[in-house]
Amino acid sequence: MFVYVKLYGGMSRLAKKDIVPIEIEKGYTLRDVLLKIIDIYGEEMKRELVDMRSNEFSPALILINNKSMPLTTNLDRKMSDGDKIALISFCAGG
Amino acid sequence: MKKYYGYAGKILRVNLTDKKITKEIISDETARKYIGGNGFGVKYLYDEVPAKIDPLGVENKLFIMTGPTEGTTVPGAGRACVITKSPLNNRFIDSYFGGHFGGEVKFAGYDGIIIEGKSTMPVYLIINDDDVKIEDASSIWGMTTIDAQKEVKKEIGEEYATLAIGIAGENLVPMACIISGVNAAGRGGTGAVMGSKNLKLIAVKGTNGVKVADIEGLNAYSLDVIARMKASPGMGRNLPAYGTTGSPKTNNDLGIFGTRNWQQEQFEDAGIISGPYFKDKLGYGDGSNTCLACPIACSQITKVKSGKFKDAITIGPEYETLFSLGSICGNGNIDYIVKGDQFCDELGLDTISAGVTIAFAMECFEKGILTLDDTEGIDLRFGNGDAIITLLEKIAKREGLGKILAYGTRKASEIIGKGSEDFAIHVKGLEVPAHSSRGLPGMAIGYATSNRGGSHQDGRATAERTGKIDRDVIVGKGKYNVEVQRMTTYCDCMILCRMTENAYGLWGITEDHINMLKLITGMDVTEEELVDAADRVYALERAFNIREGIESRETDVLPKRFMEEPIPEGPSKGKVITREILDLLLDEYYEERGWDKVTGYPTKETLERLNLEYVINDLYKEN
Repeated sequence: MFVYVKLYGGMSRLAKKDIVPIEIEKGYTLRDVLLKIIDIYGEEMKRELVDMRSNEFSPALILINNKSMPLTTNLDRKMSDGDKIALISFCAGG
Repeated sequence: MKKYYGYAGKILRVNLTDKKITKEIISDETARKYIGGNGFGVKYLYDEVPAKIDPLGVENKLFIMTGPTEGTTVPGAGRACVITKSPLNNRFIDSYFGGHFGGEVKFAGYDGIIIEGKSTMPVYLIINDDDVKIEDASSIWGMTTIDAQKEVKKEIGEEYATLAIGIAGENLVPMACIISGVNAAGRGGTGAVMGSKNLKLIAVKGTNGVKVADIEGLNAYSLDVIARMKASPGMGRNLPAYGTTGSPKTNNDLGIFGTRNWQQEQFEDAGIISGPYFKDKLGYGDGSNTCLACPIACSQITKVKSGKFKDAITIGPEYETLFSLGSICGNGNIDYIVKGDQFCDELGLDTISAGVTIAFAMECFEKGILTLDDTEGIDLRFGNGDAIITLLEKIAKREGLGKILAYGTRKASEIIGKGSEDFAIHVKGLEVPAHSSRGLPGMAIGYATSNRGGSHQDGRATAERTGKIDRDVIVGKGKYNVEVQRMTTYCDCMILCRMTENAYGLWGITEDHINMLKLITGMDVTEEELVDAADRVYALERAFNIREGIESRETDVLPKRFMEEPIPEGPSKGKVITREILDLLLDEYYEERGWDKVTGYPTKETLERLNLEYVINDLYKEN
């Protein structure tokens, strides 16, 4: 089973692609998918996703199957085969 | 000022009519009640600028202010603000800009500069500590903002920080801005007010330091904030790498990216006008820049590599400009955006108001309300980059259709008529920037209740946009927005960059806010006292507008499109802020503020509680 993760900005630059397929097993959560991405791409990718002081995932509004939701309150959401996740990063300001 | 640190303690007042230059002491009481920056500015504006004067007349004044943070090590302290009565919408405006100007004002020994009166000939001002001179500017009048600053620096020294107006300001274009280096005090026509005084430029340098209450404590605090910023993906990775240029693609994917005059909120070329594409894939990145005392260095330098605009260069373009000269005009060609951004900086035009007004004209053209005769042959369909560049110049020179568009969407729609008022996208006469009202209800109520009008700097999109606050929830967003505005008002009094908001807090008065103020100034304040200070400043801005006769519950409203036309596509499809939703949020908002729900005025009791008794007679004359 695979989920397809769309990356932005620095994450996409690190992965050298905009969409990465991540193999999952039954029961995998969004947290498991993120940890797997960090595992694949290493410390630099972790810095794109995790607040290195608190060691927690940084708040973001993401899309799962084109529906927006907060990342941090959906970390335990179960993933299904074919899910499309957009890890939309955001900066303050603007 | 005797008790508090962090302030220079003086204001420089320059009267351009009689050339009188004075220095005035700021009292401890004023500092405690109004904090600085925006607070000082609105206090002076209310007290010194009479009601209903012509914003471009001799009675209007420019208040260029710093806050307690400027000149200190606090991250985000590299800014200053301009406060005046706006010629674009005749109300209070505060507009902020980065760079080194604010720091130099402080180092020269001033918390702010008041410009009043009017010179009979073009002049510029040189401030070198106590030495203040008014000089003949006839040789630089007519120059671009950039050339004028270069020319003066060549004469008096590179070490000066400068700000200047371009031909838009000289021509009194109501959306003209002030440019410091390449940073804009963009909104509300501050450049036209400067132009109305025949003041082309200000140069400042100083040799004084800024004494803070607890230098060891402040240094330790600043280092801790820097460490927090570096650890954060947003402030430590995204902003340094892309500034705000990544947001077109991300907001577009969420379906909250204003397109073709907000007829849509998804743009097919959003990816192309995003930093990760034009910086990384087109190779347009040409380094980065920073303001004083900033560990983030978000300013991206972008240079066109080939084609008709080869070597066009700009700082940014920021997210707002990628929207205003890009998606909102249906323009997916980054070269035109870079060129247009550079052009706006040179001419001294606000990119947001200019681009949004051009987008309005484009919709008029596509609907047949404006014809080729009206546009002098310009094919004003969405997506025509050449038309955008041509119109920017026409607006700055007030030529052709530019004569009408120079007034911004509200007045332009009143002149053009034929139903165009229905899609003139402004709040209270200030063009709405790039953050979606329909997709972010907290932002919507922020726009409706902004004292400036359509500004994203009173209400903020950040908490909803990062999922810290649920954007799908409506109830409670009125109260929430008051908390956001308390944060923005505090930061505008301290004058802290919005890029740091994730470090210091996205809403309410936080421990960081209290600590920072104490370490810099020595003020030992409670959270309640700081909430009151923020509420006092915001209520005084509101009172200024009420005294002008232009502010009430009726004016706390959104553009018709945002209230009647749901987002047509994408992940935010169907979202709309109806009149009923807006009324619900306004009721919540006024209740939290202690303002009257019928009139939208701060009640007498609230004004008394905030020690603003002296404005009661202005607001409640009939009683």
